[in-house]
Order: sequence, then C-alpha cells, then structure tokens
Amino acid sequence: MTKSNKTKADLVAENRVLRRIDSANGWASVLRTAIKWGGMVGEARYAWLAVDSLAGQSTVADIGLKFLAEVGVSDVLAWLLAGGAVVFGLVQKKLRGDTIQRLSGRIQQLEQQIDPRRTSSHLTVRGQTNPVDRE
Amino acid sequence: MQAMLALSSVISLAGLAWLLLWLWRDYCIDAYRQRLFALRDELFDLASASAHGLSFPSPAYAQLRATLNGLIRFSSKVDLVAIGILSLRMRGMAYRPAAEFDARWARNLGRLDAEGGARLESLRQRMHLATAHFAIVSVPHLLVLGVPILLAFVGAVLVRAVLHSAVRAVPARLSALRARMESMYDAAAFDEGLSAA
Repeated sequence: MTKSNKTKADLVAENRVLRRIDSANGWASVLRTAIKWGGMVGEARYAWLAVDSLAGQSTVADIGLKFLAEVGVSDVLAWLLAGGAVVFGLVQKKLRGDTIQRLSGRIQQLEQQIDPRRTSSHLTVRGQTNPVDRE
Repeated sequence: MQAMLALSSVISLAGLAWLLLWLWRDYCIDAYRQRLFALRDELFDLASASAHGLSFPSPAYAQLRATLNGLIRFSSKVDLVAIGILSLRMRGMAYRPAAEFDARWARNLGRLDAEGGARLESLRQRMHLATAHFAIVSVPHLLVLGVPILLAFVGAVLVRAVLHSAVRAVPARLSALRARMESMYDAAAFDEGLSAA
C-alpha cells in the first residue's frame, strides 16, 4: 500500500533504520527479561534468608506446629482478604474474557455491514495478544 | 514467632513478585487496549455519521484506524524501556516513514473540514496520551530504575543546552523530541496495522 519508487540510497538508509529498530527491540527485550528475572532472583534470595534464619533452631515439623500455634485471627483474616482479592480478580478477568468472546464476533459482524472494508487488530477472540505476535 | 514471620515473608514475597511482574502488566495491557478500542469506536462513529468530510473511505480514517490497530496489536511490546532504547538508538537518524506518515496525515486532514480535522487530531493526541501513560505505569519495577534514568537524561539535555547557550531552545527541543517519537511510533504502528489488515 505504501509502495513507492525508492532509490538504492533510500533503501540502504531505510534498511539501516529498520536494523536499528530491530536491535533496539532486541535490547529492550533483553533488559526487560533481565530486570524481571533479576527481581525474581533477588526475591528468592530474601526468601532463602528468611528460611535460613531458622536453620539449626527447629525442624520442619516444629516450624509447622509453631506456625499453626502462632497464627492469630487477624492473620487468618488478612490472608483470607488477600487470597479472596486475588481470586476475585482472576474470576473478573475470566468473566471479562468470556464477555469479549461473546460480543466481539457480533460487533465485528455489525460493523462489517456498515463498513465492508473494516480492518482488525488481530487479537484473539478473548481479546488477548495473538500467539504469533508474542515475543 | 520467628517461624511465622519467615513463612509469611516468603509467601508475601512470592505473591508480590507474581502481582508486580505478571498480573499488573497484564492488567495494564488490557486497560490500554480498552482505551484504544474506545478511541477506535469513537472514530468509527464519526465516520459512520459521514460529517465534516469524514467517511469510511476517507484516507484520514484509514490511516488513524490502521495506527490504532497497530498499537492495539503490539501493545505488549511497548514500555518505558523499549521507548527509551529506541530513542537512544535512533538519535540523529532520519526516519523516513515518520516524515512520510506526518506528511500523509497533514494531507489527509486537509481533505476534511476544520472541525473534522480538529476531532481527528484530538483522537490522535488522546492516543498518544494513553500510550505515554501505559508506557510509564505498566512497569512499576522499572519505574524505580526509570525515574533516575529519565532524570539523568533530562539533566544531560539541560546541561547540553546550557553549554550551547540555548536555554531558550529547551522547550522547543523537548517538543521536537516528543513529536519525533510520536511520529515514529505512529508510523511503525500504522505499518503494523496495515500488515494486520
């Protein structure tokens, strides 16, 4: 659609720009992954330190028993609230996907009746990134 | 008490990691797409009303819709890091598709009346605003790193401007940088939107 008569110099310049964009995307992807998994490693280290602080003091069974013995009503309520919020969020997310799946086909069909050349974003029927577009 | 603290810390850390590194980003992508879909619907309604010289066959409609489609499709690849690295890698380079995109946009808006042009320009600005908002808030763990980088970048721009005795040119430079990045992203999204069509 955007085809034009480009000279060799134009094509070389465009190729250089496209390679830079590609390399920038590659670097961004590497940095993003490094920060994400670096964060996970950092968190794993602190989790290990928390567990390691109990080494030599108690057995796993002791820890389990002490844990149960020390759990108060307010702790249980806090965990229930946090867990409930997560479950609520996940159920809402699923409901949203179901609704998109139910309505998207109809919207597409109705819009196509008005604009037969209607173009699409090519997401999945549940409104998620198309697997072919994933990194 | 120590056992309780250790175990709840481990579980909380795991939950926080899951929330920040996966769930939050997914939510932001969905919210960003929702905003873009709302803009695309608004554009559709404008074209459907066939007012201000805008209709479905209008090149301005096709251009903006393809750009929105491209952004919706590849929103999972947009964030502060990608924009930062791209702007660094593209510094000093002429990106012809961006200039072509702007020229085509101006030409296409010229075919509409003043109000039609203003409405489409407003839609495009809101698209940029949504993209900037998404790029920043979608990566909370990067925000911690991104703010110092951004401050360093702004500081470097300011120092350079002062060194060149061009303090008055700073707003223009920042504005030009913003316009350049917007055009570049729009052109890339437009191409992706066309390839998706």
